[in-house]
Amino acid sequence: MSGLTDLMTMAKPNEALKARIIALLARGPDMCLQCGRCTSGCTAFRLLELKPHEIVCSAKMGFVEELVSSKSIWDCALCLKCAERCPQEVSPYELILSLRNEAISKGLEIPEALRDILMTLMETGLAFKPKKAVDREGKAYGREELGLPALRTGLSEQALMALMELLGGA
Amino acid sequence: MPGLAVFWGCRVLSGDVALELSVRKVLETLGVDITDLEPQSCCGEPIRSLNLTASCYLALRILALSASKGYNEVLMPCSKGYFMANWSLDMLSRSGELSEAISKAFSSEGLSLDRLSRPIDLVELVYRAVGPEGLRNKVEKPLGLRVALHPGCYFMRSKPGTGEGLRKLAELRELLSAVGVEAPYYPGMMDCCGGSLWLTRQDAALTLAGSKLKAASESSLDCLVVLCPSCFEMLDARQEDALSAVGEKKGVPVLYLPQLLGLALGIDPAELGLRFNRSPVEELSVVR
Ligand code: SF4
Ligand code: SF4
Repeated sequence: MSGLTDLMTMAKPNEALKARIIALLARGPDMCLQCGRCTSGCTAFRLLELKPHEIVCSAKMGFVEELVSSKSIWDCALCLKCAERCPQEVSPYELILSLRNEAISKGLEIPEALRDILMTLMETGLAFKPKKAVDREGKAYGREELGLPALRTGLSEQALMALMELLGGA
Repeated sequence: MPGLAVFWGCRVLSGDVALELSVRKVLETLGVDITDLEPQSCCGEPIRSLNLTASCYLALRILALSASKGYNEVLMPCSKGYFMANWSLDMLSRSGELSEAISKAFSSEGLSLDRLSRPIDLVELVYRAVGPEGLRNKVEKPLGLRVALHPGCYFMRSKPGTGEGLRKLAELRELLSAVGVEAPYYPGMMDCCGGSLWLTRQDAALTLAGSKLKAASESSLDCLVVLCPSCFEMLDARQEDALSAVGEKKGVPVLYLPQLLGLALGIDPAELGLRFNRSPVEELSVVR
């Protein structure tokens, strides 16, 4: 494999990075036979020309650096149609998430909405802050007013520590 | 059956009470007991793009916490939470590296991967607790509606590649038909609402939501029915923006599945949280 060169970009495969990116995946790219079923049903293909079968192909051959820095991995709608349709138990969805993880850990990209969610998560243990419910007339209601029980929310200190460790101190 | 825990999730707790109110009312009417899992925390779904291990950790922690409190099963009315639980279990069964990292993360709280509650969703719960026949017997007000059902990605594909989605959809349709609701196929029925894309590509996400609303309008069905708070956010709360993204004006009533079931069971619309729907639900005579 290491003898390959992408003649368009002269890029070389990066097997070590590939191994890291697919290490956790339940349904990695190696069984892909390039049938194109993922792309033919892909939500983001119709809208933004994302081609999951090409992403899988590049990853399988080890051309992962380009993928990690590409904008297109952020076009995926995370709709899971590709994972559902693949005859080979490949999940382009999982691969794309893992590529995004790598892009973020390299500091290449972090969507603003995600940054906000992470801050809220660290602060409250929830991704979105508990809020009053607002009805269509704009009137706000607390849980008691709606007859809903008060609920304890949040992560324990130990869980927060464990989470931070998994995030690499992010 | 030992007690059933319920995990609501961040979206519900951050003000989307229509789902919580209607689930509670419907289950109460059907005689199904639920106990709130406490404390409630993030299921990991919103941070998948950031870190797969951390997001699976958060999802599995809910199952472990629930099991540690003695619950065999945990109800997850939010499709995204339900998906996260199932997907993390799939990841876990295939990756030794993941289970090692998560066991380690669990150890400080004394949680274990060997004791996890089983996630169930609302459709499975209602189907098992009363079934279509039991539900039919409790109907006070047969609805006589033809709806554009939006099953949503995370209900349809909670276990991708297993055929589970179609089985679940068939059960859901049986329940709907028991309350006098027909949910025929319409173009785009299985399409995505754009809820997850919203984090990274907002314009495209609104186009997806708008196309869904347009498809529902054009199929001349009575309303859209959703299961997931993320879909509800895109199709109900953001409906105006979604419609203008595709150059449409005509609003579409959007109801949560348990709101629809609740109406058929004769529950007062106010108790089903219908005042929290932004879409023109008043167009439906069953709501008035
Ligand atoms: S559907 Fe599966 S096998 Fe076919 S191209 Fe996509 S990933 Fe490869
Ligand atoms: S999850 Fe798969 S099918 Fe859906 S948008 Fe992403 S690549 Fe396309």
